[in-house]
Amino acid sequence: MEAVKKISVTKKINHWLLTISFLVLLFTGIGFAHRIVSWINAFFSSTYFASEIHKWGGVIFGFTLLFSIGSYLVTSLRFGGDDVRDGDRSRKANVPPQGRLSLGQKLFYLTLLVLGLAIVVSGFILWLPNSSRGLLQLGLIVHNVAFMALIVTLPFHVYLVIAANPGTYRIVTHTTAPFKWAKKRYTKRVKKPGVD
Amino acid sequence: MGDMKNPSSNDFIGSRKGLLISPELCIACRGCQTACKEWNNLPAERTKNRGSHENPPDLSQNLYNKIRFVEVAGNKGFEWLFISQRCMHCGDAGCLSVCPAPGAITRNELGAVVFNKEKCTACKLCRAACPFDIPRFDEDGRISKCHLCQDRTENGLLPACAKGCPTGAIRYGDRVDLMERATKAGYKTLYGSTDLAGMGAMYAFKELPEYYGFDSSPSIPASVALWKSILKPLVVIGLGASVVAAAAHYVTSGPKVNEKNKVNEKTEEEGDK
Repeated sequence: MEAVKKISVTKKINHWLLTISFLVLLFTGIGFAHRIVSWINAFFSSTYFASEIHKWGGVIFGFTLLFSIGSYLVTSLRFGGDDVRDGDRSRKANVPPQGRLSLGQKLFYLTLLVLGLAIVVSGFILWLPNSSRGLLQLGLIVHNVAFMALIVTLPFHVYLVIAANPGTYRIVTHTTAPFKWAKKRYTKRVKKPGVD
Repeated sequence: MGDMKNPSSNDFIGSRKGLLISPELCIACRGCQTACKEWNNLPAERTKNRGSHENPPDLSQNLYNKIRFVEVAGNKGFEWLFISQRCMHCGDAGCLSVCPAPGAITRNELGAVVFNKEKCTACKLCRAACPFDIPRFDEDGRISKCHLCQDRTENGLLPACAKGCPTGAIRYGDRVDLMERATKAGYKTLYGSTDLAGMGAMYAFKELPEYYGFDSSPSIPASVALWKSILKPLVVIGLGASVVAAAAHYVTSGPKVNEKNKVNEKTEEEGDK
């Protein structure tokens, strides 16, 4: 099967580190936020150990987020005529030719980046040993509002990758996509088999 | 013992012990600070001269009770007031209600808000939720504050601060008795008698609370109430709604299929017919 390489191995590893660290943060974080599910933290030995995992998991999440900037930020900030046509829902039947990222992917990345950085920075404020009460209160609100927005957005990302667009998931497992499949979706970018 | 979780229950009100602090009787000897450190085995802190006798400058992991120096130019001329700053052991305690770790912050049978470092997750929500900005944290980020000498009072002894006070500025006993005592003594304001469902540390003031640097109507910070009452439920609702929306889209639209495959499927269906 002819294939096209969509992402590098480094980006693949970064994506999985981001995913795994997010899941660890999600489960430990929910364990902290709701007493009714505080038993989740028993999986991490103790609540205190779970909080340590949450902090250092946040550090990994933050670094992977920063790494992703080099990969996706510039592309995500470039909006062209096809992106505008892609966003026009009345013309949805004729999806315009796409480059490396579609409009939805660009917007999702920018949303993830802003919310993720807000969570990381506010989490760091909550972690600092001598943050004032006012700073703690601000950090608490930012951390939770950003988390709320992120957790509402993420199921759509997971759904689109795994269920709605069969074949997309393969990119983060194999780093490649079938040439014909990729050419159809990323018409402007994919011209021939090989490296995208 | 009775219902110590409900601040409005008769068991809670009847059995609750507390402190009565009278700033006008305090001579700033800081015997209470020293006794507290001594009993709780808290080391001394190296501090810098800030041009004030108030020392250390703030509560810390090693200072549960601090004498705050207040200079006031009031109706009676200049006054130098000395006020014990510590956990107020609120009846409606923000720290207790917001703490996500079961058993980390609890109320003991005498009504004091106590803590268990082993169960603390170091999230610091307790400080964000405290109307008086009291909790501090050790090197590991775990809570540290006055526990009303839990190990002494539960064995019938006075808290170290009350025991060490030479002037009677800090008294310990049944809350109801202490309130009666202050009323009979003619104090104008009994701060903490009713606010936040009654505090375990009450102040007998001759002037209004603001005169001593206290908020006249303390409350749990709005940001914490917003987080606890609105944001936390919204997260659950929002997550559920987005999962349902994704599932609904899958059921109604199905996965995206290449045109070629669609043609093949159509052909096969027609062939079956």
